[in-house]
Amino acid sequence: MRGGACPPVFVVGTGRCGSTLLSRFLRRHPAILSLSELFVFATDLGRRITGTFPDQPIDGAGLWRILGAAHPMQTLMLRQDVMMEEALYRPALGRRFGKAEGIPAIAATALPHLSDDPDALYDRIAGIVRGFGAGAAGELYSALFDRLREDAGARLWVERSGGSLRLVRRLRQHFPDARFVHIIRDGRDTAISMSRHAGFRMALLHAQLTEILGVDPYESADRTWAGDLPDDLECYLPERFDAERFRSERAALPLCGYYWSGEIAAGLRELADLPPDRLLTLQYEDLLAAPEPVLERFFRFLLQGDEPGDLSRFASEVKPPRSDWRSLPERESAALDRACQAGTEAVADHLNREAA
Amino acid sequence: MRSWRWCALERIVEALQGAARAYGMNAEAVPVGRVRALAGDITLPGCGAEEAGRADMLWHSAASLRYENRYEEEIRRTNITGTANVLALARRMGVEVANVFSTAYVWGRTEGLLPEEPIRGVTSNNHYERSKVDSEALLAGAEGLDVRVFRPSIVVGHSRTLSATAFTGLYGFVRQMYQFRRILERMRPGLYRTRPMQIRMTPDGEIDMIPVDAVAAQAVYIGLSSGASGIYHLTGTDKEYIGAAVSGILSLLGFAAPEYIDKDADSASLEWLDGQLDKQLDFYGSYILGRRVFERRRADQAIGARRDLVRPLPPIREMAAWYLERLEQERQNAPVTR
Repeated sequence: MRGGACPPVFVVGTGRCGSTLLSRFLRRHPAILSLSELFVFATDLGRRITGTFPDQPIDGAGLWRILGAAHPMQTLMLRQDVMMEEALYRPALGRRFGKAEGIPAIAATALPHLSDDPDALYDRIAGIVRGFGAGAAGELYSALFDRLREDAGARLWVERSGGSLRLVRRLRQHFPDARFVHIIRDGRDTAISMSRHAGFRMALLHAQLTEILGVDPYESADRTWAGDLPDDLECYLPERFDAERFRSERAALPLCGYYWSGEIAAGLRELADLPPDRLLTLQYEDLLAAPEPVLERFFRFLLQGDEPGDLSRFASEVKPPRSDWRSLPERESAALDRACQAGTEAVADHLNREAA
Repeated sequence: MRSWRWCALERIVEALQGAARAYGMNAEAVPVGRVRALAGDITLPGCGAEEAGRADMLWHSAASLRYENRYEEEIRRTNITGTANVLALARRMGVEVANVFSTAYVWGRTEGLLPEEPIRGVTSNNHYERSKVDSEALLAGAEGLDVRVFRPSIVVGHSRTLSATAFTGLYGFVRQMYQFRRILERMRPGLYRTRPMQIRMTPDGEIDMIPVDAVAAQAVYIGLSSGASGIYHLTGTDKEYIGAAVSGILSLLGFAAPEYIDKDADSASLEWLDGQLDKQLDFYGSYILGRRVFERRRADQAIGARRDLVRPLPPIREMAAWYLERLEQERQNAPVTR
């Protein structure tokens, strides 16, 4: 391996913005240890952010409770056969984890992404983590990721989780030297993709259930205000989750549009003061239009300007996505446009400032 | 584990003392020694009461205030079957006078001046209202009982302390707007402060509210009067307008000033976000759509010179603020979004 270690990178975005594609390439680059979807599962799809990034010091056992434990929302999705396709660990004969006990956060995607034997890697990591003394959560995460990077002979680790734009403030706080790649996609196409995606739909349902009940329904049995739930939300309480209905439904496009607007605007604000050597902004549409130069920028940023090697094989795998807002009926398209408007303006402002 | 029968006395004493505290009275002065609890379940034949004994008078105020479709069976079981069971139990106990609470909103979508008379041919807004119409029909046909039906409008907290012990009506509206705001805040922070929501309502229509202590005082006075019989509207005496009330509540919650649209506007013509709010506020359509005035001639005649039984309605914004503070406290530990 040429060159020394590089500071770590988080690839962040609203989710459904093309970042999963980047993880596929990161995984195959010899200089990079790719940690895929680690924090999305550790936070149980964004549900337990403070638990994943505690302000107080934790020890190895505490860290393992975050990474090595199965969390309730994803376990419900697994049991109800509505798990999103990004979860690579599939329960099967001979596999350690199944529907009964759930799949630990770190094993859901991160470990199968790294190894063909995720169970063995899980045991090895458990041994490492349990040996950690007390420290800030970010220090313990870094110690683990650096150890895995060294073992893999890589120069840097890159973590990428769908929807991690909402974690930026926590990531900056816990990983003060980290760099960021922010991938942005047209909000309307992103919203269409979110509306079909099981993980985003669960997160949106969870947000609504939580705000009506006043408690997180996966953490509390308090149903004092369950009577306020409309029929089309009540059926998604964890204790009576209607999987058949979930499979047949889509989230409302304007809801996803408003969500995208809120996420992108807040995320851009939280990234705004990073200097150019710590922040790279990519547009998914540019990646589709000209994959190789965009990938070249991406990997050069990761490797701090070093030659990334032949990227043509990656570039050839970039294919147009399914979601295209132009194919929507006029009324739906207009409603989605309105919902995305604030986010679209925030992106335009950001890109104009970058260009200036 | 203690059975619900065993807990009945504790529960009623706790409710009485809790109400006394909420209404600024000495909870220790509640004459608990005079309370006798008879455990039962109004949805069961004979109310599931093991022993009955004899009684002179029935006060029936138990009801389901739910309205969602999924609760239809529960609503009907509680409000209709429950009323039938209570009446049967009353007869068994030798009761001659029954004082029963209904709602002024049995009038459903009917507009105009609404009299203290039996309901005929109304269109209800929801299962709750329908169940109360059917329940009143049972009361009208109750033989051998002198029945007084009290129809309160929107019952709010105490006229002096503002405290409430039940959180439907005004409080349900405040809570649902608060929930809506918090959901919006999770999706698109700040939007509720800048985007006027379009709300179907009749801004110059009257909204009718009555403090809980006024309902209790008037109902007890009428209920204990020997000449009382029939239907009484226990409704507000202070005129409040729908537009001012809703705007005040939304302003308290930080929403941009709403835009009112015609009550008959097709909800399908609303923008998606307004349509979501419209669905959420569906139950409150009875309160904010249309022009209706509840006549209370019979109630006023019954209380006569006892004007002390009429209590002033506190400012709606203050009552909403009292509840909002409580909601904020309840939600202190809600999970963060970022």
